[in-house]
Amino acid sequence: MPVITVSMDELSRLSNTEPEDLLHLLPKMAVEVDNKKGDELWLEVYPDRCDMLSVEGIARAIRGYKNMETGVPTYEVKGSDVVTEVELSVQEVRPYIVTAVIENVDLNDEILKSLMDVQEKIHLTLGRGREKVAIGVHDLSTVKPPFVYKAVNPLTTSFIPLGYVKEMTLEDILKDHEKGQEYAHLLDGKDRYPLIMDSDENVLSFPPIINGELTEVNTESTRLFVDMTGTELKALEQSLNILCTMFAERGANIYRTTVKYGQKEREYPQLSPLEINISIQESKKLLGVDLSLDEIKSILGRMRYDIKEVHEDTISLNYPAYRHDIIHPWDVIEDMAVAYGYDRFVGELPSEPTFGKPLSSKKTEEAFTELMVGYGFNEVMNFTLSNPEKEFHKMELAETDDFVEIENPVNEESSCLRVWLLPSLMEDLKENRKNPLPQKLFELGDVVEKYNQKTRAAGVIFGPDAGFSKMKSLVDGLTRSMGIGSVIEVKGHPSFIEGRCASVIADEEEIGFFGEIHPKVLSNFELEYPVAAFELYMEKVEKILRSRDTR
Amino acid sequence: MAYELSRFEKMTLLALDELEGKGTPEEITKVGEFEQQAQVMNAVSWLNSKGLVEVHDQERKYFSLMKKSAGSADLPERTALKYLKKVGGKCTVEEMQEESGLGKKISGIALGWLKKKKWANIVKQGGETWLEITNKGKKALRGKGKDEELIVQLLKEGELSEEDIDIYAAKKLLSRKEILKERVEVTRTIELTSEGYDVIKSGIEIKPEITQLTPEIIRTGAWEEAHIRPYDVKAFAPTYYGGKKHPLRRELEEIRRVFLEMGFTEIKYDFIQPAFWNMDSLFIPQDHPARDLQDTHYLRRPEKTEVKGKQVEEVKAVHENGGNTRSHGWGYDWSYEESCRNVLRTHTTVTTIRALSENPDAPQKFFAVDRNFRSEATDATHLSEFIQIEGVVMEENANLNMLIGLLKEFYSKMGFDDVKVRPSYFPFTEPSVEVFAKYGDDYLEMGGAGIFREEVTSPHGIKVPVLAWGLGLERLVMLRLGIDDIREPYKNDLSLLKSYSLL
Repeated sequence: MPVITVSMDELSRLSNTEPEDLLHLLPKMAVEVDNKKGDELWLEVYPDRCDMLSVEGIARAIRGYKNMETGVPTYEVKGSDVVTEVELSVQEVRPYIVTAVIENVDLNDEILKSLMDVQEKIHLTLGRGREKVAIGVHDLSTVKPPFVYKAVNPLTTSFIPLGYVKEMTLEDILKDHEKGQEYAHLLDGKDRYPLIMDSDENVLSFPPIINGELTEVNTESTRLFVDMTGTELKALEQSLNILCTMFAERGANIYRTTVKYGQKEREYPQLSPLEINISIQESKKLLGVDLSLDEIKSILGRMRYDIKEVHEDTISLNYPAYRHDIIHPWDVIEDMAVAYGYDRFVGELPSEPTFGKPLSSKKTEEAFTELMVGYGFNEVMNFTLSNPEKEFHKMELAETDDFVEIENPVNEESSCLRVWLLPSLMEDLKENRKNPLPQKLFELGDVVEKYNQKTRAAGVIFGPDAGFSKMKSLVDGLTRSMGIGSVIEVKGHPSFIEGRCASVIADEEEIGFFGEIHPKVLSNFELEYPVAAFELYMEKVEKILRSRDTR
Repeated sequence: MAYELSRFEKMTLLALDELEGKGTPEEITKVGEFEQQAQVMNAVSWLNSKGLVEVHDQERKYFSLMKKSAGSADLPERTALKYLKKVGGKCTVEEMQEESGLGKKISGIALGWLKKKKWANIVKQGGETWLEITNKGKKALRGKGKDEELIVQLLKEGELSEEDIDIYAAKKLLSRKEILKERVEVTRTIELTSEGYDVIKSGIEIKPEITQLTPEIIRTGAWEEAHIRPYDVKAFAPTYYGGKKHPLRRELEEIRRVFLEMGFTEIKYDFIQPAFWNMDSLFIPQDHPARDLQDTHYLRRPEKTEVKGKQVEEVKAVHENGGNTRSHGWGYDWSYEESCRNVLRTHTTVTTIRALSENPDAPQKFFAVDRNFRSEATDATHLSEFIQIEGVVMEENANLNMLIGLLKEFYSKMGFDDVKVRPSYFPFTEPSVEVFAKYGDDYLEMGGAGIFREEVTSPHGIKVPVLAWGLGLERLVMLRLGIDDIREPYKNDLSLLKSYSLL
């Protein structure tokens, strides 16, 4: 979740709210106060509200919530003759661009910081790491429109990137510039790279990588040119609206610009309100609160909606162009709940009765657990994430090629899912070497064997007296107590001592195995006393129990 | 009998009787056939407090030679006396010092004692100091003095009590350095009082003692005639723990009980899920950061699952343009291939949406408590594999107020009576809720909840709202056990597994 840092003092000033009230108010508006140090507030904003990724945006929402100003904020957009021509060459590279001109900005350090912050957060959220949206803000006085957006040869085109004094080719920027290295993957496989130039062929930006040094914005800048390029037009328009209205909140003038795709012209930014209809009945029903129409109107106004018309059950609404998250009437209904106040819901219980039941396998699993605790075993719970070294090699088994393998493991320890339980229990014994002997552990858990998820049950006895006959007695008592009984047959298993391992058979099917662990395996887990172990296939036990029920 | 007497007290009284009313602890131990003298001392202190015996402590001095050599040689004054006799009863002090073999220092001591014992006189004549043997001195030549006899006696006997020696001689020797050693010993004598005699007279019976019951003793009833030895119940014994379920299991079972009580049916689906179920069917767009390799485990083997069914087209439409819902959708080209990629499920919500998809008719209540996986590094507050609890309610009248009511009911059954909710965000719910429960003095984040978006429910033919909530099991267990490292329960340290308290 994006976290932004704001000055409490500034937020207080812009929202006309006492600082101490902010701390209570923000969580009610879905803004989490993450941390507070002196005047600085760290605020977590959910990714559905990118319009609140700036101090200006949060203040705008607070003023509405507190009923200080309601309805859709209006922003004047004046005309300008700034045109950007889009060449066809960008089609395959980075097809879309939107632009705006912002004037009369009083750029102090505070606002510059807020601007950087919101750019970075939009890149992360709506921009999906600059893929969908990359933002460039330029000092307009340094360049001469009209601008052109085109794709160029990276080997032959060069300019001075931001923070540098020397010209670099686009190719070199990707290799040597910090931002180039970070975002080079976005241009993977392209033989031409996007570029924005002015009428004198000065480079404004090499999107989505880096701006030119030429157009760098500083506190002296008064006219700004904003470009946003990307792969999805809607995300670009929304991001542009968020940024422009943020400036407008500071008293800046916004100017309309033109983007030309051949003969087709589009004008940006489009800050006029958008429309959505909601149903009064549906709203009341979904919230479970009986609201009067007046209440609904007041609530919607505070969430910065304008009510255009109420016709029978339908309310036609206008909402601000910066609200990128509204795609369904329920998005508006949630806003109503927020304004109404989550803490005012008294709560009710479901009205239609249902009868719950546990998973059918739980009865058998609970019986097993009860028996093992009765035998004095302690239950362990281990991770399903494992690695082939533990599952196979340390158990002296040959590695198979039909276990679940993770494409992107966090580390080598967790590169596959376990195929059986005993390696985990052996690992537990290793970790418990400092504790007194004898030790008796059991686990009930899922494994994925040959891509099939199965429930297994296993136990180990570790200590000077651990041995085959003890385990045989236990498995016999265990299967009898689980109502199936068992016979045993000799089994060869590389993890066990030859001649000290057996299959557990019930209804002519192997339901598990047990025996005395091989000394080689013991040394692999750094254990110096014998271990006797068993593992049961619970779904087989379950199957036998069910077949007997129906017999 | 007026006195309740222990076995050892009785044995002590009988031993004293045998010792004719008086004896030392050693004697009582021996005569009474005690195992340890401490048993006698313990019994005596009880008998004393009951007025049946009196305890007398008597000091006695014992003497011995400081060094054996001190007894084998003559005392210096006798050596000097013998020299005097040898030189005819008279010599100068100077002569004595040089010729007697005593040396200058010892001669001084000898001189002092010759004078003290009046064995010689010291006279000044012609500028020199002379020694002259006296009559007493001559007499002394015929036999040893009492002090010297004591030395001989001690040389022979080692240590003697003050009663066996001439105490005057001993005191005299003690005043001289490095000859005698004195030791004081307190002798305790236990004596029967007249009440003690009365108790003995009225008869004391001692039963045989039993330490460990045996089948023999129980069968024969021998214990009835015997005394079962009482133990020191406060003596140390190591703590003994039995087998226990894992703390996560106990919490998990408690939660299952709450859900079953509330009429929820338990469901379970596999860890491995195609992205279609883990994300697409939950309206998580295919370029959502949660689908990145940094968040989700994709599988090299098995790589994909071909998803089938009419929901596939519906889900595609919902993502692209909202499909049959009133939604605009996300507005992108949805990829079937991407939705077939297998992942380790990242939340239990997959389980609930699958169950709802198979049972789309209201009313339904489902719950799952199961494992999930995230592609993130494990630390004190994060696990790459964790257990999530999730519940859903699908019914005609489901609404936000009901969700909040359900949350309060659920958490109160879990022992959290004070629950607060705040607005939140999840890609698949609208409205969304964050739950806080009061624990101690703080409200702790306890989970998320919401109403499934129409974009989520509609492709599965679900026509009524679905309330959903979820929380992490490990965090609950951390609270219950008072631990602050989320990895702790999975370390399976027997010292914790054995000793943790169930209540």
